Order: sequence, then C-alpha cells, then structure tokens
Amino acid sequence: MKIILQRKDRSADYAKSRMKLLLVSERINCSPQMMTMLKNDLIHTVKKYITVDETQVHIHITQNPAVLHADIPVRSKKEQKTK
Amino acid sequence: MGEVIVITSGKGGVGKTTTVANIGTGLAMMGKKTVVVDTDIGLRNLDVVLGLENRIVYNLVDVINGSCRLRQALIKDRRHQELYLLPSAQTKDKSAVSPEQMIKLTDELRDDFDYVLLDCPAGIEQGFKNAIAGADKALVVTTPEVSAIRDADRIIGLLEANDLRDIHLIINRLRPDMIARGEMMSVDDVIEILAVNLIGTIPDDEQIVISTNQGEPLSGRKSPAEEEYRNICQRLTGQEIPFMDISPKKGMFRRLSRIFKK
Repeated sequence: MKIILQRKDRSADYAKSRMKLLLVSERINCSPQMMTMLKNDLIHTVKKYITVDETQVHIHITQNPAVLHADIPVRSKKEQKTK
Repeated sequence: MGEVIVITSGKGGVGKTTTVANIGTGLAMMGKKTVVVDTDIGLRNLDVVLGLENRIVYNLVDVINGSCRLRQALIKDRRHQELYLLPSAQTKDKSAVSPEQMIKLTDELRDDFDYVLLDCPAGIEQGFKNAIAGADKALVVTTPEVSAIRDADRIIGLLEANDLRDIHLIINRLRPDMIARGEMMSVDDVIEILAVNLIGTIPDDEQIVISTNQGEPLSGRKSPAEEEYRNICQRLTGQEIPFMDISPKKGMFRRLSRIFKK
C-alpha cells in the first residue's frame, strides 16, 4: 500500500523541476556540474573565515533579473562546542 | 502598413503550420487582408494544410529571383475573400534566400496586407534566420513536453538576441485530463518555466486533424481548438479575450458539459 502511495509522485512536477534547472543553466551557459563546482568553491572560500554547515548549503539562480542566491548556514560558537 | 508576424518553435511537429493556417484563416474571416507565407524552402507544407496545393504556379523563390512578380505567385483562397498564400519552393534549398531578400519581400507584402504571417521552418539554421529577419512580432509555439519547451526557450533567446522582443507564446496540444492527473505540465507550469507572454492555449483536439485532412482550417463549428484559434486572432487585433479555462478541475467539468451540450 505504501508503495502505491509513494508512486503518486507526478511526472508533470518532475518535468517542471527538471526544465527549470536545465533552462536556468542553459541561459547563463553554466552546466549543473559547474553549479556544483561553484557551490564547492563557495563553501571552501567561506570556510576560511567562518564555520558553516556544509550539508545545508544551497545555491540557485532566479530569473528576471538573473541573480545568484547562496544560502550558507553559519554555525555559532555554541553549536560548534556541542558537536 | 501591415504587421509581419513569424510563427516559430525550434522543434518540429509542434503545430507551427497548423497554427499559421488557422490564424491566417481566422484573421481573413475577421475581414483582415492576410497573406500566409511558407518560408520552409524545400519542405513545402502550408499549401496542403490550406487545401491550395493544386493551384501553385510560382513560389517564394521565383519572386525573390525575379522570375515572376509578387502578384503572380500569390494564391487567393476562394473560400475566404481576404486570404492569400505565398507558397514555398519544393525543389530549392534554404540557401536560395538571404535574410536581406526576406526583409525586402516582407516590406513589399506589408504595404498590401493587414497581416503577413510567416511559417518558419524547424531548427535554428538559415531558414530560421531568414524567417525572423523581417518580422515585427513572433509567436512561439510549444507543447507541454520537455523537448518542445527546451527548444522554445532556445528560440526565445535567439529572437531576443536578434532584437525581436515582441514575443508571445502559444501552448498547443494541452490535455486537461492528463493535467488533472498531474501527468502533463499545465499552462501555468510552462509560463513559469519560459517566463514569456501568453497569447493562446490550444487543447488537443481531433477536429484539427479532420480539418487538416480536408484542407479547410476552422471548418469545425464547435471545436474547442478552433474556438481558441479564433480567440488568438482577436487577441492579435488588440481585443482582450479571456483565456479558455483548462485548469484541471474546471477543465474536466467543461469537457463533461460540452459532451452533454452535444
């Protein structure tokens, strides 16, 4: 039963998210691989100065006007101690 | 001075020629003097869709080469007072024409007609460049499929790069039942992805196949697709016509109510 419910992921949603990702990268001539590399470089650069939560970093580009957004969660001193 | 509109898509088989035939016929029915031009040199098609294939004497390449006068190559549709066809050549290839020659031709047509509709070939090569050279406005045809949408996005980029910024989107072959099930992208989905003005949403409709078989666009009286083509014509002339409701639930209801009406 669970499998049937999970199978309900709709192909239209999947197609839409694929197209949005693809077209954004095609418009600026930047492939998904390059986006991943950019993300890794960003993490690397920021890490030199502050501690960040690497697993929660997200980057994306919005259209009209095209803007690169990077969400890089910063770890506070407290969190670092508990870790 | 008439308006020159190119109908393009990038991908083949999404309904460019059908769209040109239907919008051309629709505008002529509204009393606008309209010429439809088949710019797909080597792959002539618009003539059969319009049912005018037996009346071709001269073609676009003949006009451009000066082998005949423009008037001699124009075929007048006997069913619609204001509709004319300029057919494409079947024996030449796309390099027979240059963008400069197309601009000259469209400028000449613009003087005589209210609307000049250019049926663009698929692809982004010479034929595409020729077709868009003289256009004031572009209608980009797509379907709610990933391949057509990707090509439409590429085409929109190329149009903008060529300073053709009056771009409007037609989404063809929409299936409300599939959209309702979440197995086809909706009009809103496509608009969100392509971020462009919408001018028409055409439902998938077997009447289009029937009309094309008969060589008579807009011949079905109660066909939803043909109704929407008429709406597009009115929008092109500046009227504000609300979009057909093909949002999932209401779309289903409309379909059912349509069946009951019959």
